[in-house]
Amino acid sequence: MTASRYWRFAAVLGTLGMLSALRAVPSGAQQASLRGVVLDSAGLPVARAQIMVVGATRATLSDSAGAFLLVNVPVGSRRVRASRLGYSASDRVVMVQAPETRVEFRLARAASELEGVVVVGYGTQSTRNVTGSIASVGSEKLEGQMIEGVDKALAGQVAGVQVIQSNGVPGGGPQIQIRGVGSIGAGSQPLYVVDGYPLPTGGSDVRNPLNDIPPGDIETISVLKDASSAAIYGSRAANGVVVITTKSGTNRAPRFTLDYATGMQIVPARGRPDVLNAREFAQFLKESNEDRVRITLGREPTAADIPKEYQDPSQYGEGSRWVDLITRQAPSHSLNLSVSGGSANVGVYASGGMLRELGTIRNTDYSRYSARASVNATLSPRVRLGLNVAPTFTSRRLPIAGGNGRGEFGSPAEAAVASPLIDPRDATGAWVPLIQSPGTIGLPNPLMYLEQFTSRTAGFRGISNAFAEVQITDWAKFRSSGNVDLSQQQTNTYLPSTLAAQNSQPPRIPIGTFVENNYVDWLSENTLTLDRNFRGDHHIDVLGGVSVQVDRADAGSFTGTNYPDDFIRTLNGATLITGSSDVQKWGLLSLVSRVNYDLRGKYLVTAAIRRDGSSRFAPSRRWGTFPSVALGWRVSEEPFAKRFGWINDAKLRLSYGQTGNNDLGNYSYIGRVTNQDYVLNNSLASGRVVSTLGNPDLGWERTREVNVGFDVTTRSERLTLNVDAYSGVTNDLLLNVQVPISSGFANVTKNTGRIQNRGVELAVHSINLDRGRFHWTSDFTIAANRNMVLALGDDGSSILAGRTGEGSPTNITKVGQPVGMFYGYRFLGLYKDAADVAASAKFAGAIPGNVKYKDVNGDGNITAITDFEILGNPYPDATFGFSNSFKLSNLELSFTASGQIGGEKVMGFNEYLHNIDGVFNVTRDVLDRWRSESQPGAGVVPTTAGVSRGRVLYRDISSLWVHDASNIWLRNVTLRYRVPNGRFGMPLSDASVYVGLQNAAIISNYPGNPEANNYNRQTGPLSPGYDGVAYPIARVFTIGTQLGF
Amino acid sequence: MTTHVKRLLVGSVFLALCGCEHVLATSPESFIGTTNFYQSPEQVERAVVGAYSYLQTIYGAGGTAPMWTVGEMRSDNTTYQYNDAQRGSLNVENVDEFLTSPDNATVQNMWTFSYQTILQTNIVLGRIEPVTYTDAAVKSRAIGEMKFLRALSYFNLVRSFGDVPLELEEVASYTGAFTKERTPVDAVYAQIISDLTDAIPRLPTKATQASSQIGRATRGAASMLLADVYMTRKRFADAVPVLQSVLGMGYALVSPYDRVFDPAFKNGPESIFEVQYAEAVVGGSSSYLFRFIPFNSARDLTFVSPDNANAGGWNIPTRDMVRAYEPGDLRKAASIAWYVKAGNSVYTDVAIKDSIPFVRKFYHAYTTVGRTNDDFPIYRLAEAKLLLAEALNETGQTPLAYPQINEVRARAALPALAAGLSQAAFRDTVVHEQRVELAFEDKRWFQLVRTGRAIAVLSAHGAELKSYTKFRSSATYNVTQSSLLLPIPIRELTLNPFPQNPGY
Repeated sequence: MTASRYWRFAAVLGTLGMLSALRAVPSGAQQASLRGVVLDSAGLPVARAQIMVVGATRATLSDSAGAFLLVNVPVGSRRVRASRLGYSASDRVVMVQAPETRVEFRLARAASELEGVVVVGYGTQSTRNVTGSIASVGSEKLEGQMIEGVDKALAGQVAGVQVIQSNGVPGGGPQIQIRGVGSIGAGSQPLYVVDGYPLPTGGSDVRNPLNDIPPGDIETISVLKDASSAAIYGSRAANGVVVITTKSGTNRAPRFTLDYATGMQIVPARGRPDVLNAREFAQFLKESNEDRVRITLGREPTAADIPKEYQDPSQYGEGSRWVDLITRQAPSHSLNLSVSGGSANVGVYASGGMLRELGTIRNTDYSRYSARASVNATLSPRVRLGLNVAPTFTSRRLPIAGGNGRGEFGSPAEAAVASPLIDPRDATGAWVPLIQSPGTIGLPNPLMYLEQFTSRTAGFRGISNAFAEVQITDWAKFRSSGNVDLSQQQTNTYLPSTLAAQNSQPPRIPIGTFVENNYVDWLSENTLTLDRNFRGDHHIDVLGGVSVQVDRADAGSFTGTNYPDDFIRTLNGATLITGSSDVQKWGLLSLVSRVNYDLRGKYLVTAAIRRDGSSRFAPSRRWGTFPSVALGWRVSEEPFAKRFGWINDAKLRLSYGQTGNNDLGNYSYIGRVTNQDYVLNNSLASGRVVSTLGNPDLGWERTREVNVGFDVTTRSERLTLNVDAYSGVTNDLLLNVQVPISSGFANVTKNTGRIQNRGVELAVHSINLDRGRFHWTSDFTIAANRNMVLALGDDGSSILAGRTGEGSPTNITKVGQPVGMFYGYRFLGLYKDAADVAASAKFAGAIPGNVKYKDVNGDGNITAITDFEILGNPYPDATFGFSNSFKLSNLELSFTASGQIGGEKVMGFNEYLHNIDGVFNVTRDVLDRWRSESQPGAGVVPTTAGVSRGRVLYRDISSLWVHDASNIWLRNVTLRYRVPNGRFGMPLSDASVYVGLQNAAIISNYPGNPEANNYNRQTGPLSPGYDGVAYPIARVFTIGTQLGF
Repeated sequence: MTTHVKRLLVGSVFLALCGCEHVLATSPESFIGTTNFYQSPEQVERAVVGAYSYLQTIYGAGGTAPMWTVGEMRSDNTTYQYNDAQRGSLNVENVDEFLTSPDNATVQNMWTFSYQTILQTNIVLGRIEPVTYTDAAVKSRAIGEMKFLRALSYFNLVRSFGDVPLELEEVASYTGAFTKERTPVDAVYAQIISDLTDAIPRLPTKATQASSQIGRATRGAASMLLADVYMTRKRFADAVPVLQSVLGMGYALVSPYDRVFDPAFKNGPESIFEVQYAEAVVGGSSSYLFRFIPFNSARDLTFVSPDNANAGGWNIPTRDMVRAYEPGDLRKAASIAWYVKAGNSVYTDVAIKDSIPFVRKFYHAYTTVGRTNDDFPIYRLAEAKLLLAEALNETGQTPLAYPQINEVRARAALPALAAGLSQAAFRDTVVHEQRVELAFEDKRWFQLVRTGRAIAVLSAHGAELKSYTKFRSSATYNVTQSSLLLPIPIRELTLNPFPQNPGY
């Protein structure tokens, strides 16, 4: 859209709003207003309940106080219905009299969610009228767990939403993937919308937007899965949208809620690398030295050939179990106090919360202090204002960033490979700084490193919203909102001189860093909603709006070295300081519109269109249009359906939508001139070079998806079934394609390639038993997604990604296959004898006992890449979730399990655990390795003798690393006792105590965390499923209480 | 409708409209767009300096810098100290042992850094024309410098890979990045010679160069490169006048020999062109010392912390190199130092008893952690003299060649050559003299190839190395005709439909 057209649209919208406001018409003589309140069974207000006159399809929503006003209701006897997500609908026959009639509804919590409303983009919608694929999770599902962010509680709850918990970093969040991976060059995370505000997302799991919202403040979460529901968020919706609504005030007497929980986290034995103990390690090194002398030098070893530390392995016992030493039982606490209440016209919700969590790796922790204040005021019958302020302070001590692979001293990965012969402290109790046995790579003492390397990140994030809503007429509403997300984060680290470096005793050169990351993001949004009935049968609501979002991020990073001593640790103590700073900006200008139409509540149509302009693309390619349309047919309303008495409600849905993805660097379309200096005459000469090739044609990545769905509820709502099937194709992938280096460039970002995701999703909700005091419900979800690359680049050439220590790729993205398939050597066994070596493909210098791989290209030589083949699929055949809730009177037991069927993981850390050079500790299977033709061992671990290439090949990616990752993960078990109101003579309401166990058990053949992922590795979605032995996931015992008064 | 409602509406609509399309016009702050640069002489000047900066990546000592591996360690002058615990640098060892494969990272770096330089020179050469200069000489000089750097890059490429894509214009689009074929060696050399011939008159001589410009290409540098090209092409008669012109530009041999490499006397009278470094400049310091000392020397050889554990052990002089110096040659002690420590004899591949040799030329004291001050010589007068001696001998003017070689020998305290050597004997002598004079300056490999001696010399070199240790398999040092070219990086072959060099 050109600028002038945009202006015209905005002006028309504005004028329309103004004019409508000015010509507000009084209601007719035959009409009356219906005013009232919706309360739950405990007498507490129910916000966002939908109130409608049955047959008239005129509807309104209750406010946070539960109050509602429905105008222009014809006088007379009317059936009025109130419904709300999570409650049974209530119908009442009301004698409506002019000018105003009052009515009160009481809603009971329901097993069925059919009668409620769900939060959709830019508003809410009655569940029965939803035409897209939207899943909703209420706050009751989030209770009773010791979690930092609600996303962890989503695992297994929503079909088609995979919550991947790749590590257990304190305050870290999982990765959420909705309906498979649809993007490889641009971001693949969903868009998070909190109270209508699409939040800017960061790339790291440590900076998860949901970590800054205490779970207790969350009212509902809606996941917009299909393109038609998500298209209202246009250019950022291709990976799905997670819409979060926080709690808001009521206008009843204040009600306080106190939540306290304390947990104890332990690291289960399962999943720890199974490495040699001291005796085995000494034995292994003794033998490998002997083998090298025998085989390589061709003579019998003498005592002089064996380092004295290894000559008598029997002198050692278990030795240092480093992974056990660096982990601990760690307590956590969370406290949240909230108040909800108000007067007739003002509703207030305020909360303050604290979360403090020690990490299961020593000297790691996470704390969060949060507050939220939400005020809604009805200034006049037609005007509402609201203000929501939520500041959060976080502090995290994390000397290791996540511990994926080696390189972060003190991480579990480093600890796993450190020599078990050395004790952390010497006989005098002093630290042993360098853990090194003869021939091993000396590693800094992991325990000492964790204690002395300081790294603390402190951050502030404040999300604020303000809105004004004007009910211009009873059918037209204008809403204007302003939103700000402000974040400041500083990290200070100091690496003291007392620590060792790799292979190097202290003193080392101290290094201090100071990193600052700040951003401010604001969004201004104006929408006009029209909602009318025509001739009784037709109901239409129309939304139109304009939105502007602007984001600016400032970063600075400074490193100081050459500290003269360790006393002053800030950068002013350093004698040499280097640093850089960066500014990133983006803007998004959008026009939003949507029409919902229904005929007698039976035939439903939703059509939406959004137009986005993004600064991330060249001026000529900035604007994109994202249309969608969805149809719904409530079959159960048809006369013929009445024959099937067991059906309560049944609906068929069909939708199509387009969504986009602009999640790539801010200025990718511009060729970059950057600094690259030289020296002239012994001093700095400023130089500039072109570092990237620009692409002025860069545009949106666009996903088109068709969704077919069917929802059915049986009589008395015993069984609810939702089925969806979808097929989506992402076109014009934002892909970083390679170009020949003879151009001077390595790659360029380009719109090229297509990926398809197809799948089916099934969700079942069942009330198994509802007799007297016993109530049992089950939820089951299962989803299968098939991902396939349809086209890549201009010539379809595959993309290799990931990198082992030997420089080989780990994953391949290839046309006709899912994204990021595992790629490496095919293990065939070991060379049995000289004849086997002679007869087989090999590498230069191969000897019997060396590893034998498949010669894929048949040239007789074993070489990386050219002899690689696809080894496995990182994506599961299906993912499932299963939750149950048993209630007996006031006692409630619930559990949630989730898991996957099929799919593989690569134990990437084998590049170290399979290093048989004798430089690291290794897995226990090396005990049964090849030593000679008469002692071939188990035929898996090769000889330690011979040229280094033989050992190197064994620690490069091969089919030995690939494991089935099918699993069942018991996420959460909670036993809760609800104290009956008034019991014990206490002025309590809704009080409960509970005990819980999170991550109770994992059943899987995979030796580590079956959801391990390379979240922090550069290549992102192109190299999934790579396990680098990250921060372990804790099992958490929780005890907590919830008190209302 | 009340007044405050109207106000609110007016205010909201205003808010929506004020943030109009200008929010989309964000421009980067931490870099400049290519379309907004190269518009003033100052901007072009920075781009010229930027092109020079790649000399540090090609000739430097970083783990990814290719020239010392390709130009020196692949020859018989140096090898590496086998480090059983650090098997992570196989790509470097493989080049030394003639096990180079098309995915070798060092080889790819040679390709990458050379073409990155070429891109920058092509950008400047393509965009300088419309830029208005007040001093036409400055503009002409910039053109000359870029042509010199482009010629040097292609010279390194064509000697390493044979036929290579000849890029002479800025690549500005995706499709423009692809090349159908490799340009034959002859055509690449024709372009190199044409660039240098054009550059020479545009460049200042060292004498007329402003002191702030020290380190940039001069007429002497371009002439020396042209002569080197002629020598490589065996156009000795063409080389002679060019070398003689260099001798007439006021350069002088520096005595004693070790002062040539002393950071305190950088860019001295003998220096024709050298890679510039400065310890005091962040990111502008060199690091040869750390790479070239024995890996087991820990803190023994570093002047300032840190411990250099496992980082060194590369480019270690061979026993053959140690033997190559004539008795009394002052250059030996200035070129090779020794790390003497009990127990060093376990490194049988490089140690002579308890002494491990290492390159002395770039081993000088420094004060800032990790930053050394050593420049790296690309051309200096002694090489001009020795090339001239060789060219005169090849063109049948052997008697005229003696003064050139004897001057160089005299500085090393060696006697003058006996007169009356045959052309063949003189040829051997001058090749040997070049070897010891220019040892560890990344010349030896190219000299062996240029003089047709590579296969014989390196086969013998490999046999000797293999006799010291068991870790080198029979597959190593099988030097054949096809070993004389490096493989084209596999990445290029998958993107462009080129044939690979034979033997890979």
